[in-house]
Amino acid sequence: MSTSLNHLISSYSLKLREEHLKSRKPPEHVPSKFWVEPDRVLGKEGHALVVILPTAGCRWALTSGGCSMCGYIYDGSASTPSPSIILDHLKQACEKLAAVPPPISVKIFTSGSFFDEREIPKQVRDEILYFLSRETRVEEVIVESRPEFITEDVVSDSINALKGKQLTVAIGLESTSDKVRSIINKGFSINEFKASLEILTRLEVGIKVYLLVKPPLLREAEAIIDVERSIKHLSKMNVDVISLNPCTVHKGTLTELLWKKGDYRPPWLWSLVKIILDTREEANATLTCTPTASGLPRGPHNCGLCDKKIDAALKKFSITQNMKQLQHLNCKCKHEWKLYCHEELISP
Amino acid sequence: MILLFEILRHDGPGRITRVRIGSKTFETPNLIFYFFDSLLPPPLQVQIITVHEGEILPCIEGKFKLVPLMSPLAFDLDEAIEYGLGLEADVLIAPSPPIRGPSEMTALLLGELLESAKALKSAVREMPVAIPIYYLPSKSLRRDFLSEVRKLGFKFYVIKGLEEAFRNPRDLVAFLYEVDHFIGPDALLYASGRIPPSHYLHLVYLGIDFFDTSFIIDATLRNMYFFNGAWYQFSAIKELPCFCEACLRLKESSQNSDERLRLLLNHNTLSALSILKNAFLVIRHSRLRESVEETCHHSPELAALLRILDRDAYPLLEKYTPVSSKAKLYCIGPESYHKPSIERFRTRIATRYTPPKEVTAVLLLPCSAKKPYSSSPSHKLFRKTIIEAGVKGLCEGIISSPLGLVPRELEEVYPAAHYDVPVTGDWDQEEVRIAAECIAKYLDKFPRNCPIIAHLDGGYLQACRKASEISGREIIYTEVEGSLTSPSSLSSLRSTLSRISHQKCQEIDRLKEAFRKTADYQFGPGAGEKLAPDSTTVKVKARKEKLLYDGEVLLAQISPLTGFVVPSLEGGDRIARLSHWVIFKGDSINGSSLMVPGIEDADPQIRPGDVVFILDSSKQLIGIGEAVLNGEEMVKLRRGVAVKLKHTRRRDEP
Repeated sequence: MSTSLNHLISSYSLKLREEHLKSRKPPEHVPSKFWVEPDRVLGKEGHALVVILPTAGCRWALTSGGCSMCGYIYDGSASTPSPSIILDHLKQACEKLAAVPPPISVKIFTSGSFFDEREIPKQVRDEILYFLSRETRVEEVIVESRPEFITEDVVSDSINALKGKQLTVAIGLESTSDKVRSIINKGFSINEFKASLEILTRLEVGIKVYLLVKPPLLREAEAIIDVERSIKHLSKMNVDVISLNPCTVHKGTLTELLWKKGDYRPPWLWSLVKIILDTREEANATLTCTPTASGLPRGPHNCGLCDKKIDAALKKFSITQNMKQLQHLNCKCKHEWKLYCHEELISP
Repeated sequence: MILLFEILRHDGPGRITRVRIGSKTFETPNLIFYFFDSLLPPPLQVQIITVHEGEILPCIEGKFKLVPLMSPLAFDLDEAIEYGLGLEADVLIAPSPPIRGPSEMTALLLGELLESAKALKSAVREMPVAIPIYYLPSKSLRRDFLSEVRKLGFKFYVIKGLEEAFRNPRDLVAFLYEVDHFIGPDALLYASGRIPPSHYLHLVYLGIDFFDTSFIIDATLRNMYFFNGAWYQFSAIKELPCFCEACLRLKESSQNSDERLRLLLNHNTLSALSILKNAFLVIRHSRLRESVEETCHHSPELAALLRILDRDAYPLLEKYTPVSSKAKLYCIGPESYHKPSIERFRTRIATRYTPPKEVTAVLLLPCSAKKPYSSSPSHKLFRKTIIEAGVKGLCEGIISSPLGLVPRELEEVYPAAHYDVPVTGDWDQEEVRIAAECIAKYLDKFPRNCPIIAHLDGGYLQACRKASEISGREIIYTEVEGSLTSPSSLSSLRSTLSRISHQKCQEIDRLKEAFRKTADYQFGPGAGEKLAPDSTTVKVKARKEKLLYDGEVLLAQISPLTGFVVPSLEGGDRIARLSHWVIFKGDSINGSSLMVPGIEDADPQIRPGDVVFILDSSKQLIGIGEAVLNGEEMVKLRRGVAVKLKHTRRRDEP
């Protein structure tokens, strides 16, 4: 792909960031954000406590405009918060843990990279992990990071701080195709990802990979094929969990800009079902898909009548890994979806 | 395997073509089926589309597979090609990114498309490749893109987004001009996307060769039933009006919903296909334009489109419209007033007709239902009256709607002797305006002192009075009592005529003038004088066959079917270099047709059906024939019959 298209996508995003970042609040006014959700925990049905820390956000988004679908940065703080603010958020969230049935994992999300020391200084990171290491009911801690921040030192430090609890690192790979990542403006190559994977594998850290279903500028059928191709590639690498993330339309993103012009439609829920049915056998990893905003215009959706049913089936499958959840799903709109896939390839 | 195609027949820009890919052939207009079996899970073959070829539909998989390749934004070309070949494609559609976003982004994405199309073409030399082109609302972006596309020399275009263009018919016309200009006739055009079958005929008329079934599938999924050009909610139909196999089974009403959907799809697809098969038929029988006019009554959108076409796209339509036809030319309503064959007649009378040299007076008469006019009872009475009045050198102009004005010398020329209108005697404003303008332009061709007499009533009279205003010419009106052929009306005509001064008193040689004026009408002003100078004579043979001689040498005859002058080689020698020449690449021709590859150059004025002169490289006439294509196509196309030969001159002949 031409680099000029990538430049253009990046420059649109930068412009949008400039506009929308103004609305961010200072750290002390960012409300704490956490919730408990059913999840697959170390191969079993369990629950996850999700905590969003109010950092200043993803460095990639701030410097290059970032990924074309991502608006998480607007949830962060206008400036770097003090360590105590971050820890307060965490502690407040962990009070919830007592009522959660085991097994439990904690997901620490920052809307950026947990291992980026400009986002979370080393000392704060150590304190977070040390705090979690003392939560006895927690079995697994999941953090997210871009590959460039995954170094041997940082990861071993983190393992040590967790004192034996399972650490899992989630990476937003989105696709195994460099071409697709380029139109997302992801800013790293498959080789950089593989290098991180190698470090994580060596240190026996759990590995979770996010795949983006239908980035803007891909057609529905192309998106399906891209994700299936990615799952096939990943099956030959050491990946524990593949999480399919259907693209949603975040405020202040290039995706939103296209969506408003009628030039983007989030994926059909049928596409997610199809991908799982097609690839479950060869995936060689836990396959999960827990859509957000499904059934809404900004999220993955079908006809409006069946969205709840399909969404629930996908979530149920993600926890149980039982294919029965997804077989025999039907709705009148399944035909419409097929037509849509056909048509988009031959028409604009 | 390469894709070859030739145009077999024209009716306006609409055409029948024969497409050949390897050993397989089919004809267009045609329908492309989405491979869409509602009961199968969607395999990756989702994008196979096929051209209808067989007789039976339910086997949707036809003979020809078009496979659109996937976006270069996500797939390497090798990967995309392998995929397409795996589906046994006959034609690959060049991989295109979705053309989206703000104009800056659109421009870059179009650049990606051009790059990948170029790469594909050189990667699969042995395979036909089609390129998608886009109806883009931005004119400048569109033109830049089309002029780049032209350089790639594709012969199969997938036009995307044409259904959007219907919202803005003026811009649709502009786009079609651009397609004609940048792509020209030497390419197949496939209008992809949700084009309603009711729009097929209009688009076929504009030169579109293929449509697909996406609209039909979508409507079927909404439980719609297509019959006779209109869609109905299936559940609201009490008795199915169709007797196709699918409908017979639907009448049994014992199917499950998937089966019902399949039968409905089957019926709807067949109904849509029959529209294209009808298009085929009407092109063969030169009735396409009439069918398009009928279809206007299906929706205001279609009526608006045709009006705007006639107003803004006359040159585009006219260029491909045959100059004659064996079929009757019906002019039923306002949508007929400006049809290209009629507009062309009016234009040619205005620009190519010159009156005979010495004219005593002009007589304006009404048209008659029977054609040619002079064979009608009313015109026979007028003729008798003129002779009784003893006036010679009279030039007659016949007023008619919507032709305007037909000079008597041209009354047998297509379409003057071939059109038919519902005669009620009532003229609408538009008819009066059209006729008045034609009459005024006709009168301007005569000297100011030439008397003009009008024997008219009703709408004819209205048009004539208006023409008098426009041209500032005084017109002498006869007194009409009752009908124009009543004894007193005819007597008024007789006495008016006899009052004209008889000084010049030369009778016009009507037969020779018919040759002269018809030659002017066909080949341009001056051709008539060259072909039929004073030294020539006209003989009328049995069955009223008219032949033009110079001494013993036959120069030309008038075709009883079209009223056109068909020169002999000797007659052709006199006018062949004026216009309507086709320059042949060799020295001598034989056989019954001249093929496109044999043509060096051709007069761009040539229209399908025209008499044309075949010249060798030293501009010597070596043959005469009838054009199948227009002059531009003869130069631009690469295959097919260009001229059906009537006379050829062997090399040893003088």
